[in-house]
Amino acid sequence: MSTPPPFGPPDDADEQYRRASELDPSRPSEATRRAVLEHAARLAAERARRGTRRRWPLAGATLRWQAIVGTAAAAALAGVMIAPQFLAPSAPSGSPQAPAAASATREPRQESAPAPVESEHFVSPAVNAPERARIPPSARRAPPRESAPAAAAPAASERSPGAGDAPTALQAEQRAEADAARAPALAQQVIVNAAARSAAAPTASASRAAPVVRAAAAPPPEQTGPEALRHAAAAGDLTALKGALAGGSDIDARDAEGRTALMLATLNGRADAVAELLARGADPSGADAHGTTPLQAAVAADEREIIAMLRRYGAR
Amino acid sequence: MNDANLSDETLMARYARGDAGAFTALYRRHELRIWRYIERNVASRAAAEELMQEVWFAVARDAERYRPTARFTTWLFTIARNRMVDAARARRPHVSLDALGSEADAVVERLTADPRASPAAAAEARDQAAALRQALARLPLEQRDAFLLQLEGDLSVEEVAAITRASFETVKSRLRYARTRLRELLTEYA
Repeated sequence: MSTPPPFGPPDDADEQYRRASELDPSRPSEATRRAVLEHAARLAAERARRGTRRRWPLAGATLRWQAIVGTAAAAALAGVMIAPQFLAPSAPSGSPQAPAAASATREPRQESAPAPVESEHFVSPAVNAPERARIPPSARRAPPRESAPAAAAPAASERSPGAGDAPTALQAEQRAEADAARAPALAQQVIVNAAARSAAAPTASASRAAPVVRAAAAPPPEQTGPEALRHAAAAGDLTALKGALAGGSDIDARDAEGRTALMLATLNGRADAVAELLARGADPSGADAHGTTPLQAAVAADEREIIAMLRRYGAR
Repeated sequence: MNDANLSDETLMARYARGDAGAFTALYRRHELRIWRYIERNVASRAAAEELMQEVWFAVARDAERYRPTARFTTWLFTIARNRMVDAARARRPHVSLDALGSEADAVVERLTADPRASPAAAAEARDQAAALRQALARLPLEQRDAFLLQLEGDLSVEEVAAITRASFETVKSRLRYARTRLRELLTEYA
């Protein structure tokens, strides 16, 4: 043998491999390393902030607990007060709970229009003033849903009581008519509720049953956030975007057409917003109502930077 | 506390709670092994860079869901392999790193010349690394994959079998053939 093989003894492939690997200078680029570590740091900061927010407010937890207790107490009291209406002697045979349960599950959907009046319904002052005093204002003031963002609050608050309640009462009456054919007791209950709302919707004490149900299903405070988030994403306003996310907005919330903030940022060519949303864990492949994904939208618009970013995050 | 003394699993738990330094320690610990596994399995450096980012992005993103039921390296190499398989299936066009403003080419040049080494030694290192790559490239895909998983991931045959969804005996056979062939090829390139 004239020259020894450079990879050492030929019967030890692992050793040859390791020695050759040691000599291989190939490394990932600094750009890749930086991108990975920056991305990880952003997510860590986000997690640390979330963790802090979860751990810190013991006082907040107490208030929430008080709100829950107060709501439950109000529900129980209201239940006792309206129970006689459901226990009419003419009730047909069958489970007496069924109509009440049906009513309870329908009520939140019936009351789709957000309005200050509704928030007043949260806990009837006549019923439970001490409990109401203990409930934090943020819980008492049920925030408007996405369809009535904070920016449009004045107009919405003027419009909502009438606009929201009239169809609600109508729907309730129609449903009451249909139900009447099936179950007299159910019809009686629904008609009572509908009549109470249609007759005196703007007053806080008009209905005692509905407010309690709504209180239990009061929308979470972050429901105003997603629209602000999407607006910021579409406008490429990073400050507003970060603010909306800091406020706890669902990063993948969709608008009426199923578009997420990421999709809107993509459609508007907002690369910075796309980067921010992806870094914070937005679903890179969230399709809109037509099945179009952000990647498809970016390809269609020839947004190369956004295409590259989406692909890096595994978008399809 | 010195992160270097902590286990991978502990570092992951710390990162999941928001400790960015824990991730940095993890990355530095496994960067080269994952890089070699990816780069030696895919055709282009650009594709390897892209996959490298995807793998570590996935690690960062899924940190909260990670449960140490298996070794971290098993999980890490499973992610890497799945990403490579997905990329191969999608046959996606590679986004040029140059187009992204990357300094990839400059880095390649810089890395192929160790300033501390003499020109002759650097040239020899380059040659041997190139010979290794060529030898690996000539291995059948399954054999190369199994071999790199075991060598770079420091994984057992059972772990490689679990990651590649092959039987224990199949993986053993692949590894045996890979070693035999690699030995021949490296001697040939010598």
